[in-house]
Amino acid sequence: MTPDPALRSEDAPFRLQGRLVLGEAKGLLDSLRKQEETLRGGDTFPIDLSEVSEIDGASAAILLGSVRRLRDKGVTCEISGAGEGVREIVSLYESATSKKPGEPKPQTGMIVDVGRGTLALVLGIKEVLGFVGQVVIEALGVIRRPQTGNWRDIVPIAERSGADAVPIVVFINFLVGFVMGFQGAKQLKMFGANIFVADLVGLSVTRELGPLMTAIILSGRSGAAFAAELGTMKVSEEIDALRTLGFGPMRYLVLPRTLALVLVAPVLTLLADFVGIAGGLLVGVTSLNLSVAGYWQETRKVIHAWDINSGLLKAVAFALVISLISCQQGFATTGGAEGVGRRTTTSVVSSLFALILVDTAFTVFFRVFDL
Amino acid sequence: MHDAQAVRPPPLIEMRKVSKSFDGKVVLHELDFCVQRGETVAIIGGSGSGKSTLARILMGLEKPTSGELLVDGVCLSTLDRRELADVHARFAMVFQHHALLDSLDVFDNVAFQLRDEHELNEPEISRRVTEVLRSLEIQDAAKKLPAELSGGMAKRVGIARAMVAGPEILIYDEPTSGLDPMTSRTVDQLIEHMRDTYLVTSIVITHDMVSAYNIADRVVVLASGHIVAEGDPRTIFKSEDPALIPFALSSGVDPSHLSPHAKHVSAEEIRARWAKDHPHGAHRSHGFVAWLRRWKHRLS
Repeated sequence: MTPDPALRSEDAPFRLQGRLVLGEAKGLLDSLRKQEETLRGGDTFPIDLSEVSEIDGASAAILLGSVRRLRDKGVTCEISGAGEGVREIVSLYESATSKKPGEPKPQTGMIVDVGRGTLALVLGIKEVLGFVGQVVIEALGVIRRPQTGNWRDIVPIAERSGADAVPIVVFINFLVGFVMGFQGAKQLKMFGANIFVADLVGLSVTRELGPLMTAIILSGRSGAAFAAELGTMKVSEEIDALRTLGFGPMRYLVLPRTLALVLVAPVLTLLADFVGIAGGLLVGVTSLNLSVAGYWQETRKVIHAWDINSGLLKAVAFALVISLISCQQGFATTGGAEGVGRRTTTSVVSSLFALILVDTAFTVFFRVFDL
Repeated sequence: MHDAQAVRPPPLIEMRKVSKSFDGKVVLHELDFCVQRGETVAIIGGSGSGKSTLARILMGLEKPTSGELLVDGVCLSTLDRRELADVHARFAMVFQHHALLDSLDVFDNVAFQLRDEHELNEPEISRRVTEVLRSLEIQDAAKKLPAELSGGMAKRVGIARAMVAGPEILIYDEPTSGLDPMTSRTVDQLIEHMRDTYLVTSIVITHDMVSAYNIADRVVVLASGHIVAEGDPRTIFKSEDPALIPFALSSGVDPSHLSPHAKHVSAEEIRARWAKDHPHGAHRSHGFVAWLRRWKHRLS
């Protein structure tokens, strides 16, 4: 059925004949392989199908696979003379095989994954930094012309993220102070240093745990809300609509949220400090035989203004981090409800990660400069 | 300056070789396209033909990758931020999914833009909003929240919000998508009503061929980022051109049954009425530099 390759002269077409069905596939493959070995780039290799009466999928695939390999090598390959039935089958397989060249196989493996992950992280950081830059520019614009700012929304947002968060901030921080005191009590009792539980709780709450726990609550409540709110506005074109009405989304949406959070975070942190100390006091009074006055006096002795102020400074930084990350994630939302969910998750996870990083940086900085 | 204008006014909007690509994927290929004042132009095309991107470029929501966009003969890339904002204030857009602000009721949604303009007091804002709501027959829904509105109602509110500040150019993105045929025809009538009442130049992005046929003075057919045809809707839908037949067929309308629209006011008439109402031309950006720049542009 297939011609002897030796009989083919330089320019004569490669002529196939008869029925090319599964039984003939092996012969066809072998003879095409032989041709492939002899041909080089720049050669021409016409294939004549005029005498083929029938072709099946297997032979068509073999033929087209061979044509593709030859074309990749640079050989000019043309199929001609096919009858209607044959042509239909060949073109059916042609569309399936022609997609393959040019599309590199997706690479997998640990190194590739690490590379991709790193790239995504770097691009993510770049996006956030670009966003922060834009926000700073807009903020400067508002400082120059205060009437262009959206001041109306600050109070409602501050109420939602501040006043509404008071119960949970009080509850969590009271428990944190209580647990700290409880854990410390047993150790301190062994040395008879009962009164130092006030130092332990007071310092760790004001310098570290008060701001951090408050920021974690804010990121879970307000950060997630910001991301979901802005994300929904983005996917429902509301942000575009605002832009067409002449409202910059940064000015109108991001700045009031950021400012509101920066205003409420220190207030909540102060509250957290207070109830945290109260939690420690409860432990001191109930299980360490301390008096309320004694505990309070020890706390006042050990805590300086800077301990509280450094915590408030952290709170401001945390508020900025939470607000900027969640608003950026909200604006980056694409693809409907699922996208909103994904971005909200990312915003909370990245905020928590960033909070711990910033907190560490602050603590190291304060320690190094002995503040 | 006056002579030049009298001889040949520049088109209201002109695109010169505008291309747009996202991440290397070309969505619009060097489009050249003009809109004259008073015209209603329908831009039709299938999904992915680039028509929404075109609308977003016109609206200033996207920047073209290359090419120029001119409004009243002034190239937008030569303008600074404030002048650009002035130009974009002459445009308004009706969004496909309405994009109303969920937390505000209908009245506040429509009043939103006016409240930012400090020269308007509350009674004046209220008067303007009520007038627009009444002309769209939604004054009874003023206190409803967007979530309580039907699709057709939300569309009307979207149109009201776009119209309230008195734009010259109104861009509708898929105004009839997701609406039943009856409501779609009502929306067509609203588009005509807005044009006849407020003399706006309308650009309608749509894949609804019936709608395009009903309202447009001119149809631009977009396919994979190229303009494949442009002209009078009757000619386009009766065209034998193989590139256009699918559009005519997909409309589900037999072109031979289409009859010219009786109530249709011509673009020339709208233009003439607009010119009568605005004897000093369009509201332009102020200032000496802007004036100088316009001069320079006209001379070149």
